[in-house]
Amino acid sequence: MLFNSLEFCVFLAVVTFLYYLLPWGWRWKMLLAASCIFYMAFIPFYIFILFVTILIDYFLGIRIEEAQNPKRKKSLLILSIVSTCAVLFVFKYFNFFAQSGNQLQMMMGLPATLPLANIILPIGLSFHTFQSLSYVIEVYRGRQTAERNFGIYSLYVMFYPQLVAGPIERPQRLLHQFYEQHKFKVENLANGLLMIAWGFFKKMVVADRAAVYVNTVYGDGWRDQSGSALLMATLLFAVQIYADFSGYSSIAVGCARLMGFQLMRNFHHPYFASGVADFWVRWHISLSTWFRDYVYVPLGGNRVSLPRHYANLLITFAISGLWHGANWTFVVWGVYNGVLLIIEQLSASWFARARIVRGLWRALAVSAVVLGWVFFRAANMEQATGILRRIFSLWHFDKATAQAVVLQFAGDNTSLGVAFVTLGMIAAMLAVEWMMEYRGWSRSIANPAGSLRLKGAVTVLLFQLIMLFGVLRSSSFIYFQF
Amino acid sequence: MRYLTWVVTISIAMLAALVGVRFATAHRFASENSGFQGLAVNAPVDIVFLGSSHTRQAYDARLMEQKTGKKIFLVAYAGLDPVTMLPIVQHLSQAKERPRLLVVEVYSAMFGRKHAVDDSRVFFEAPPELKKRLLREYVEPPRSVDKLMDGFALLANRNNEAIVAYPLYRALLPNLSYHGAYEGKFVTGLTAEQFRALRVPLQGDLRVDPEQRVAFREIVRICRMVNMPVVFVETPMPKTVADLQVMRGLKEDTRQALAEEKVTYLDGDQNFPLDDPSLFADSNHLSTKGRAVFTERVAEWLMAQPR
Repeated sequence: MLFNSLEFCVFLAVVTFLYYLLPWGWRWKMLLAASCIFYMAFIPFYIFILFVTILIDYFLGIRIEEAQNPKRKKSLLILSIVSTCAVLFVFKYFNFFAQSGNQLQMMMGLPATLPLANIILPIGLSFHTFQSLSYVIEVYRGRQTAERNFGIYSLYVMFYPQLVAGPIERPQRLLHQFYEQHKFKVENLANGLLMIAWGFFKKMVVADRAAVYVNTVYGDGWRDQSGSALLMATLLFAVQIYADFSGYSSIAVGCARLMGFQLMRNFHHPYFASGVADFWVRWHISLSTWFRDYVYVPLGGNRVSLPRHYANLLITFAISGLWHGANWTFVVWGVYNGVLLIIEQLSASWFARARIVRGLWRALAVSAVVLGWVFFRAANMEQATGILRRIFSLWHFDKATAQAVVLQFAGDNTSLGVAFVTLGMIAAMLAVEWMMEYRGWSRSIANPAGSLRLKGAVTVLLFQLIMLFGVLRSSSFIYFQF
Repeated sequence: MRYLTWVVTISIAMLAALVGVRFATAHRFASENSGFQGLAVNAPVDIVFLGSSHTRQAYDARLMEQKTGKKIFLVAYAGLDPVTMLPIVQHLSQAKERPRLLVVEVYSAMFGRKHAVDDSRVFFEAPPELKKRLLREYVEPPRSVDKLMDGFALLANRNNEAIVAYPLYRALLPNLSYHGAYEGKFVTGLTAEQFRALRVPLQGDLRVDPEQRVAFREIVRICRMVNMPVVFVETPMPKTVADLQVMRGLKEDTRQALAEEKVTYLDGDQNFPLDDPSLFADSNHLSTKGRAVFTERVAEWLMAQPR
């Protein structure tokens, strides 16, 4: 059940209505049942896998809290991490490591012996695995009491707005909210609807429009594309992945807000970042902070020698890349961003000198991050390196090339109009975000206590734009595959 | 709840108003050199060619007018099949200035496929009366949510870019078309190697789709009823494709359907050098060179028809 489907709209309306209709004691039960239905709409059988993860971490969370001996606490934590990650490994990484092992064997002149499994990745597995892990780690650290109500704990992992693609919540933020008695507030309704509308605008009007171009150029015929078309596709992919994922996050936060739940903000206008480090502070915040708190800091963070600090950064980014997908392209993408961050840190004192240099670095840093998306989007390393080579070499400045670049927007003589509207909508989205970042729109439109009339008017306007210019057929969100 | 009612009501009312305005005026944003709007602006027209991209790529309008001495116009939309042609023919039959001759494209593969609207411009560019006819198929039984959603997308969502980018189109498009046909677009022919490698994504023992057959019969019936002369022309296919078992079977079945209705039909494959790669752009469209050869042939054939 995709967010951008008619079924979900009906589902959301019914669940929200029931939430306020039911007495408080029944609400979490209804939400849990709704979350199960939502998850089972993809592949019903996979709910058992999710159930196993929930069961393991529920019981181990209680045991960790009850254990008096620190060694026992630690071994229970390791058991929880290993068993939860084992599920992730089997379903997401088994074939990747088996294929890599086979390739290595063949390179050494040996026959490939490792078998491959015929498995479909359960939807959102990486997300709810990380949410489960954050619970047991927080319990182990004593910052969260173990949840005794199995149903409530299950709902913490399965809460349908953030079940398949986050935000990856921490137990301290979310668990207690299931015990709160949320009363219907018109502010929550207005804010929720606005966030949902803004999310749908980003997804259906910006991301899905950009996707048409990206899919054509990055498709089977990518070798026939000019450098300018590939650069345009890469820029559009940078917009697509941002609009797609931040759109999803916005819808998720909005759906939860309708019922009075507060989910964390996952994006903070990342393309207006002042550098690479700032970009990663603003991009997929729930995951970045997860890696910071549970990987980077335990590795020693920056409180170690400089070479070790840089190694910690590279390890964290490499794992983050692998988290995104079982493919070497994602690992390279992660390491590439780690290297960018190290370069930025090495040259920080130099860049801090003059305003113009800072401005130049800002543009350069965001451009470098955007270029890194080539590894993220490419199907394999051969395509990624081929595309990068073409972007830097295959340039022709003539009318025919310009026409060919525009033609990819629709493939016929409507391409010019499609290009005009697609680029216009991207500009509109970025302009709104710029106003929110620099002109205080966050204090008016996005302010939870802001004018209801203004919120209503913006929601109505977004609805018109979605209906008139959105891609109405349902298409999956990019991060669903992770 | 008052807030929700307010937002939902205004949203729907505003959308309904915008869709209503679009319904009544969208065709005015279409090109005046092609499609329905072009036909309306250029009326009266002696010969109207109605068909898909094959029609658009098969005729050189200037050459045809020169050879026949008649004013012609091509109404061509990608993937236009008999089911979608039917409301268009109904519309033409009721027009104030009917064409003196209607040339309807016959493409066997199109007769053999399930009906679908491939090119949403058919709806966008249609005048309101024709839009109503085209919409009927989306609301008539058997109804489904998918069909209703497709109808809604046509009504509200598709091709709005043409409205937003109208000034751009107006400045650029007139140079690209003449009376619905390509103007100044050079389509290169195939190489011998490309010609040999041609394939079509059709398999098995395909027959004319029953819905398409009914629509075709209805087209013939309407033309006869209003006394609007109609002929059917099949554009040539490369020999490598025409010789495929699936295409031969489909073509035979299509011919039988045409024969049953006793209509005038020109098989484009006859007397056309089907084995010349330079005359074809792909598995079913002509190159610029092929277009000139075929236009001359059809012009001669049309002139030889009894008036």
